[in-house]
Amino acid sequence: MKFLWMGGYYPFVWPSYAVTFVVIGLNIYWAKRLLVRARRAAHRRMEIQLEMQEEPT
Amino acid sequence: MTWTWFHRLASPPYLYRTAGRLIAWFAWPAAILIVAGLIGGLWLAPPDYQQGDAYRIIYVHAPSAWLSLMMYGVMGIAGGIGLIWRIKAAHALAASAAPIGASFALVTLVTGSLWGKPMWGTYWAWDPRLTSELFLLLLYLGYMGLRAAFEDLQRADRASAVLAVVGLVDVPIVHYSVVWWNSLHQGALVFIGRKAMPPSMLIPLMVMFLGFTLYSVAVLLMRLRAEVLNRERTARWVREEVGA
Amino acid sequence: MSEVSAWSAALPAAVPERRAAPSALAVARLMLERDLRLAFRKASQLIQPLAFFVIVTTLFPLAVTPSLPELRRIAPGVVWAAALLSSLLALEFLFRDDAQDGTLEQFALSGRALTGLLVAKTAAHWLLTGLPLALMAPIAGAALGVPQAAMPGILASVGLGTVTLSLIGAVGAALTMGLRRSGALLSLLTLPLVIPVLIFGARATQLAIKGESYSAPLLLLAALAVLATTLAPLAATAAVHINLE
Repeated sequence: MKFLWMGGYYPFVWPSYAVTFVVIGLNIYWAKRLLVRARRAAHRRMEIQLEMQEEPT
Repeated sequence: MTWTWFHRLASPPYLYRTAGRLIAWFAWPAAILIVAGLIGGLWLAPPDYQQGDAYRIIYVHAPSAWLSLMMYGVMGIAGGIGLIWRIKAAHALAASAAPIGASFALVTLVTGSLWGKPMWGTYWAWDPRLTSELFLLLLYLGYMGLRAAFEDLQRADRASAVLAVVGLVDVPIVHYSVVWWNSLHQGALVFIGRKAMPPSMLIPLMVMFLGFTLYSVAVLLMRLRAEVLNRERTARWVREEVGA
Repeated sequence: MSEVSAWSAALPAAVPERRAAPSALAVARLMLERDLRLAFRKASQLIQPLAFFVIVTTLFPLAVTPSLPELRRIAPGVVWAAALLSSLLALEFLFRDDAQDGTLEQFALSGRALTGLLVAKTAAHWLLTGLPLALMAPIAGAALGVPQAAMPGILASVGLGTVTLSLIGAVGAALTMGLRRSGALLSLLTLPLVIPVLIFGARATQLAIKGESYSAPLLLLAALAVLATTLAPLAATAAVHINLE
């Protein structure tokens, strides 16, 4: 409890840490989402190409 | 000394795979260091004799500020390399660095004003460091806005690289002019960090700096992979990579 | 159309009838003459930044207070913020028209160093906005209760500061010249870069109003102008080439 109280500075210390770690997490999440989307887009393009190769004959 | 490693890094498939392999080597040490820094900073370090426990904000504030500067450096240098040697991978790196740097510039501003409230009695005082951090954030926003304004990727790369290089020259000038400006106008704003810290406070800070740096490299590599994949959509190696 | 005719109108006057290609300096002078001539044909473009400057400085007495002693206190900030915005206002069109009708591309292909032409265009921008602003600033200052002794200081600081503004602004204008609605983006790109000019310029003005020596901030402004003169044209050239590719 004394730890959470932070000598009375808890309204400033904890939000600071919260904001920082939210952004740390968000950066990881954004980067992962970007990669997943890029992979998916590449995959879709590959499928379309395969279809186009099969169909014309 | 050979430059082959440098040229190989410029090859997208090699870069993509190497980055993928490296991420874990940065991410795990970063996680361990940040947790250690948290324990050290929040628990083991004693309260400051002047600021009490409020000074503990420095363990997230200062490393965030460092990241925001470091990412600007990465952006400017990578942009310059991309411009001079026409290396696409360097442009991809610059593009990846900007959002990370901008987000940590924002964190620096928020934690700085949260720290300012108990120290100065107000969330925002025109402290030189916070003020120049604000301009850094605006420079990031300008860079990202310029990138987004172009439809042609190559043009976006090269134009934003020019801006990043100009910014790289200008950032120190802006910073020192703001410091100079502040030295004229202030009633003394006391800011921690100038006086020597005892090791029990300093070591967690150093650990945090290292942890944040490694973390940012890991995130940068993750973004870089996505960026490379997006740019190389039509290449054969991407098909192999995705199809497997 | 009028631009092409203006270009050809400028040609025979400055290039004597000889086959040898004119020197880079002569080309730059031609460019400067052409830009000035074009600007004087469209007088509204010439007057707009000045009128804008006057309007912004008038807003403050209306919004803050008409009392001269108080206005005198905020005068440096008012004059400088207004000068900064007015200088920005004209930037958007620095390269825009020439880029759209292909003139700039012709220049780039002409085999002449583009840098010289861009420096000439930037110089024209300063002559058309910076210099009039510098002449107008003491008048606006007088309306804000600034003593007469401070006028040379205001004139010098605005005149010197706008050199840097024009040069850095030219980089921003070159970067955004291909974009459709670039006004807000151009401000976002340029303003953070020119903060030092604002700081030193406002400081010089403040010292001049107080009747103290303002040579230190003025020298800093001069240093910035020198630095911008050496580096900004290179960046602007790179940016123009990128946008023409």
